[in-house]
Amino acid sequence: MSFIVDHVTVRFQCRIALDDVSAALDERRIAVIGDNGSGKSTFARVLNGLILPDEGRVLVDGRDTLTMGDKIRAHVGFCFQNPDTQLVMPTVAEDLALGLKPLKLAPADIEQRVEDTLDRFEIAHLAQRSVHMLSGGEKQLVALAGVMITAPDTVICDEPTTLLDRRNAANVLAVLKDLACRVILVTHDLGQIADFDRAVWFHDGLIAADGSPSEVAAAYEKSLSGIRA
Amino acid sequence: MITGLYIPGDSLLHRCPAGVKLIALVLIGIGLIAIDNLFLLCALAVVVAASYSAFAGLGVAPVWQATRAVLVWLALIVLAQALLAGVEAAAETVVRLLILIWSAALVSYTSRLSDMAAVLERGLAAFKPLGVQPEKTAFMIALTLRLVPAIFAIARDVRDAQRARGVDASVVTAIVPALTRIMAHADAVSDALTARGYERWDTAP
Amino acid sequence: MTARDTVLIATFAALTAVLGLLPPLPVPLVPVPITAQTMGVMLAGLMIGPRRGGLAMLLLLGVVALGIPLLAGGRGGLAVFAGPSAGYLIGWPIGAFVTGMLARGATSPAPLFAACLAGGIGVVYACGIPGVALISGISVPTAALASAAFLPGDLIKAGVATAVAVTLRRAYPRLTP
Repeated sequence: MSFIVDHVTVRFQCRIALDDVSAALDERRIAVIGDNGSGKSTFARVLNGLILPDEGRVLVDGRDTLTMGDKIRAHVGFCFQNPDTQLVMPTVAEDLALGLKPLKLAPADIEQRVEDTLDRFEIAHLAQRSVHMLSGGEKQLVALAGVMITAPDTVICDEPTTLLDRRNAANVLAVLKDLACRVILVTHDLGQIADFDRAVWFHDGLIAADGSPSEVAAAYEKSLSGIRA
Repeated sequence: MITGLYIPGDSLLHRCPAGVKLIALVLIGIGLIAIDNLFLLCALAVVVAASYSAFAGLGVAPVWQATRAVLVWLALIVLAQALLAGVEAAAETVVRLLILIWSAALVSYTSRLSDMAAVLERGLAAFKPLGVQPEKTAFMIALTLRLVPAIFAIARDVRDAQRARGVDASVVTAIVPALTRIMAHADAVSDALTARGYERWDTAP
Repeated sequence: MTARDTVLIATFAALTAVLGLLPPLPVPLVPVPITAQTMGVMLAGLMIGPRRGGLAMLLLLGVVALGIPLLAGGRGGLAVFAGPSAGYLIGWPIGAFVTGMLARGATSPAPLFAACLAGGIGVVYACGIPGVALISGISVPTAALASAAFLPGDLIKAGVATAVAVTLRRAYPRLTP
């Protein structure tokens, strides 16, 4: 699956979130880093068509997000920062099944897939648990499982661990790194990206650095050194 | 946080299908218009109240619970009608009201939300040509229930934050910041749903 | 129906429920503390437009009918549609729709307040008062007199809803036509 970002500009009411950004993403583990408001989250969202560019276009395997967003989203999963906004059904099992609705599977198949996915993520014990009784870390794992249940080719994660404590963050990150599909991880925690294949650093809506995680992290750290007076 | 009105049990009425109970309710409503005899109405009221124990295993407390909600209104109606149209007319009106309210409440007490929702979904299927989407309607019901505690928590957080700042925390001062956060929450939930293929629920796989 | 429409409709249905769950407020001239719940009717029309606002109220009534006690005072179930407030409840979706329609394109307080008065009060009372009269077996003028007690509280709610809408409709121009 290839992502081609072609001279994309995204404007919100009073500012430019992405400024004529171009990139081709083919690596298996890609990190997107940057400060708040740098455009990294907007970038993540143009990749699967949640946000459409005001200028330029995004092609996923040749499909334009402008016209074929729904078909693209069938193969590109997205995991968000706040687990609470991703879980919408009363129980964990029901929420997992929700992700399968577009596939129009028979009830028995749905049940099987839910069971398999729960086992795969080692959360079978949470199946009948009420969603609002879960811890933040558990919610995020359930959210991730709900995304992975459709077996996407790529999963984009927008700061999935930011709201979690260190133990849960480490756990979720470990699960992410274990996934067979491609992972595009948006994060502001440089400690998470060391073994990724590529890192892209966003600053003020532009790509400030793009290369190996160590290079990009070094460039980012250097930019911070001016602050530590 | 929100518990439905359903009271778990295994009685005759509990096992009766929700659709059947609803039809019975409509028939009772129609029948009430037809019946004029105060004695008959009172007998019917007793039957309905007794059904709570006899056919639903619920005892007397739920009957009182159903009545309590409209007690003030009933008293006012009795007064108004007694003055304007006489005691018998007042009695007829009140007894009719009680029969209808008690019957309706009994259906709610003995029917699971999921069973009622299933009846609704089946009923809505008839309106598909008009563009109604029964599956999404059922989902919207679940989503509303999910959002009530979330919005309540936002309201409470805003109020707490205002109190901490020494601002007078009332519905009026809290509502703009609370609504702002509620709208942001709605945006995030919409994005998550879109990302999970919500728009493909109706199209062929 | 898009995800955004669905979530907004459910959000305002839930918001109206929450307004009913909050403690009632004391209001001058009214003997009984009033709940903020009917402000949800006006806010729905003002913030998400007539179609979505009307559907939000319909959704709330649907959930209540299915047996969830989301009306002020913890009321719910089919019994509320057999009681005296049945007419008012039927007026909620229509009231939200009318409020939304009249508020279209408006940004200043006066037309927004008028929209609240017409939809949130006018339509709702027009449905509620005959409902009370029918179910209670009293005359419409008598029912109207009885309902007048709620007017001061509802006028205040209309004012609050207007003030909120003036501020927030500017922040969400694409949402509110």
